[in-house]
Amino acid sequence: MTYKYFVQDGNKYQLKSQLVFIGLLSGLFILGGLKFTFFHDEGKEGAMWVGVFMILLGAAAALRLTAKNTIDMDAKQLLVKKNIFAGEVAYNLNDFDGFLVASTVAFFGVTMNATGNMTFNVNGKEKNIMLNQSMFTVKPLNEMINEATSIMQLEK
Amino acid sequence: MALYNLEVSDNIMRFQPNLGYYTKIVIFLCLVGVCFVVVPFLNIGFDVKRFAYFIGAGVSCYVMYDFLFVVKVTMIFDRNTRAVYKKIPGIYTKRLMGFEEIKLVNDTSYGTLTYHIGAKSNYFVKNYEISDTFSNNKKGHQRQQEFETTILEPLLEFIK
Repeated sequence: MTYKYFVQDGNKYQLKSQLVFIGLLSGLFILGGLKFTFFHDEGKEGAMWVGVFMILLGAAAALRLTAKNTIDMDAKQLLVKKNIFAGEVAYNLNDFDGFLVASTVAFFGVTMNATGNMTFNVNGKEKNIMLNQSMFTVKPLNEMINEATSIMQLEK
Repeated sequence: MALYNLEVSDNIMRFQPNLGYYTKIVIFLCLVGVCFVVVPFLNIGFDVKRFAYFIGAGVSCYVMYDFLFVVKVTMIFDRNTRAVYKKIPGIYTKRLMGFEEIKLVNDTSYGTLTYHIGAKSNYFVKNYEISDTFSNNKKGHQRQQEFETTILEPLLEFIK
């Protein structure tokens, strides 16, 4: 079986990064920031700082492209690497609590932002790990979660 | 439980999850009243009045929709056919899913916690409300506790 959201390597499944979505998001922010930083009107220095802030936001979003989340079914754990600088953290799948889709709905039922998370219960503490993000629809998150469910063999 | 009109018999469990909307409807009706009864006699410009009328019209559409289609929704869990039905009294009854497919979803899209149920393959995309909203304070926690003990746990037992 091939998966749309995961790359299989033996018994390890790595979540694909959302190149198009995050690339578009951070690209828009960085382009807009560059415009404000270098092509702002004469005597409007405030625009420059807005531009710098936007570039920082875009860079922070682009950093998420280097994230690595792997479901390791041999060791029964989820390996989380939030970005290239962060260390790898392992969560035991025995602590797995459930999937969670957290969405923000505004403007007459339009989903503005949604994230698909995995919830772990580590020694009584709740840990949410963000896997994917989407806008306007939660359908891709649902598909991703269905694939993760079948990988983790939660269905009987 | 008064808030949900819970009825349990041997083979059928039914309750109305949206009765809490009545409070909202009363508040919005008051708003409509203010827009159409009080505003015309105020000494303000016509532009502002027209804006208030627009808001009043929009809110009354919303109230009408809630009153006709949302408030009296009844969820019916039927053991004979092993399926869940959604009934809008006087309009239609729809089969939602079988008991085997039911998945519980915690939804916070509108800021407050609500329990939903959905069919297994797309439970985050299409799901149906089965509880009132519970805000994150003492009163909300208490109401959530009450819902869980009086409805949710018997329900999960019922659909086994």
